[in-house]
Amino acid sequence: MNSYPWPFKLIENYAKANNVPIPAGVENPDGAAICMAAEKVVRCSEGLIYYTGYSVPVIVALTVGLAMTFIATRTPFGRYVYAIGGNPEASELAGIDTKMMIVKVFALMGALVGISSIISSARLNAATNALGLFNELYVIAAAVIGGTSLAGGVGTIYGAMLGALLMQSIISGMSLLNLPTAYQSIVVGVVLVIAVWLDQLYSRRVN
Amino acid sequence: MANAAQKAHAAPESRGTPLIEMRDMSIAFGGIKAVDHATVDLYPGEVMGLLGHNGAGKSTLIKILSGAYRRDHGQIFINGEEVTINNPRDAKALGIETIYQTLALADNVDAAANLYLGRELKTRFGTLDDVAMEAECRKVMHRLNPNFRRFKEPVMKLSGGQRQSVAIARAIHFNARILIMDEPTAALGPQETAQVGELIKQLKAEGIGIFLISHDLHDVFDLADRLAVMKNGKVVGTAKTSDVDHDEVLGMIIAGKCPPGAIPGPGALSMAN
Ligand SMILES: Nc1ncnc2c1ncn2[C@@H]1O[C@H](COP(=O)(O)OP(=O)(O)OP(=O)(O)O)[C@@H](O)[C@H]1O
Ligand SMILES: [Mg+2]
Repeated sequence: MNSYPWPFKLIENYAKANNVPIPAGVENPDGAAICMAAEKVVRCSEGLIYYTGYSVPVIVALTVGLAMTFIATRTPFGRYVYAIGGNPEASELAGIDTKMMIVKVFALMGALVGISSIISSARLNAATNALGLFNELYVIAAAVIGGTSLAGGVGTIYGAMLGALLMQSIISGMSLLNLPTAYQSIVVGVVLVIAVWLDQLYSRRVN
Repeated sequence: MANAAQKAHAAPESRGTPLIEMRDMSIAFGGIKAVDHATVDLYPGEVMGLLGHNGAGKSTLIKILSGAYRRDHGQIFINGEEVTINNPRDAKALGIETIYQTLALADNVDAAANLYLGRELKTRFGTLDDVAMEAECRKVMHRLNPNFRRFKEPVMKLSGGQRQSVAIARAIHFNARILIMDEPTAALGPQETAQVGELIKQLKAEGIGIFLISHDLHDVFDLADRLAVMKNGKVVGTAKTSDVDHDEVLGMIIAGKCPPGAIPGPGALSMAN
């Protein structure tokens, strides 16, 4: 999951600092012993591999993604959501209780926001009333980048998740580059505008 | 229309209780009285043609019956019992199926999803049974439009006639007692139109009551047992198709003149003046 081998140089420095004997690596296929280095567990099969463990939020995100994909594609509820997005009047005439459906969609969104706020506050070990403020902008950008139409009725869960990955990569990357927050917001805004523009362009092409 | 024998199967002479009676219906949009004290009825196994100029209120009248609009005034009786229809679900529960003039399709999903929208087939786990729905969709579409192949496409990508076929399929698939067809053949080719004509005769023989809205007098005379003409929201008159001819009906539509063979309504010329 979030567990990946450390980059070679990093692990070498780590091993030296902690007096871990560096095994023969790939040349030594039998060296799959588990070495104790300081308090950390290190496996030494193909060189030194230091497992960083599982990241619970990633597991949660994947689980939610799978569950939501199931709901969106395999259940009547999901079908109605798409239908209402495509043509609300027709859905009502087809006998769907569109008002109730919209209430349910909002409730579902509330539940998902609840999950994300649990993760956020667990990560920060603190919660404020402004937790997640401006996230809605990122969320909209992520969904649109992932192919969700602002006009409604089109989009996938995995698309939105890929969009979120892209958005977060941009934001994290900018943080790593030490870009001032103001510029970060500008970039996010520009990305959002471009995504919406492409969405409009695409939906005009379709019709 | 091959089946001339079925045309002889007119509505029963001895009128019992009508399947549907819409009594004194009125609805206004702002200042426009779209339907103004209109009364129409429909017997089982009967095709009732609804005629009138553009904007006469035909679609609005049947949309009250199908639950799309709430009436301002009037009563609806089914088999003599008053019913309340507040939304499309109520109408469907009473066995009223509708083909809307605007088709009312969800454009972004495919034909099968539209066919079963609101009453999906489910597997025993409660999930959508897309395989079964598509198989059924193929069957019913074959009956209407044998050339139809594009089952996987969202209906947005279909032609006007193909979309109309999907809308017709949806209305006839669920054992309706009362079928409302608002210009069902407006976008259809000659072969498909003939097929819908055949279908109407079949459904009629099964005892289903049909409201047929059409601007095509030939179709109405060919398929309908009775007709009602509306003008500016009012019913000009009702007549058996055998008691009036084309010119008389044209006179009803255009001038609101009620011929001797017809029962005049509140919109008839003599009463309007
Ligand atoms: N939702 C609405 N809001 C406002 N006015 C409406 C609405 N629906 C219909 N009308 C008005 O009611 C009148 C009757 O319209 P309706 O659609 O019933 O006509 P129609 O007889 O079906 O005509 P056509 O033959 O063109 O289909 C028209 O004047 C129309 O402008
Ligand atoms: Mg109409």
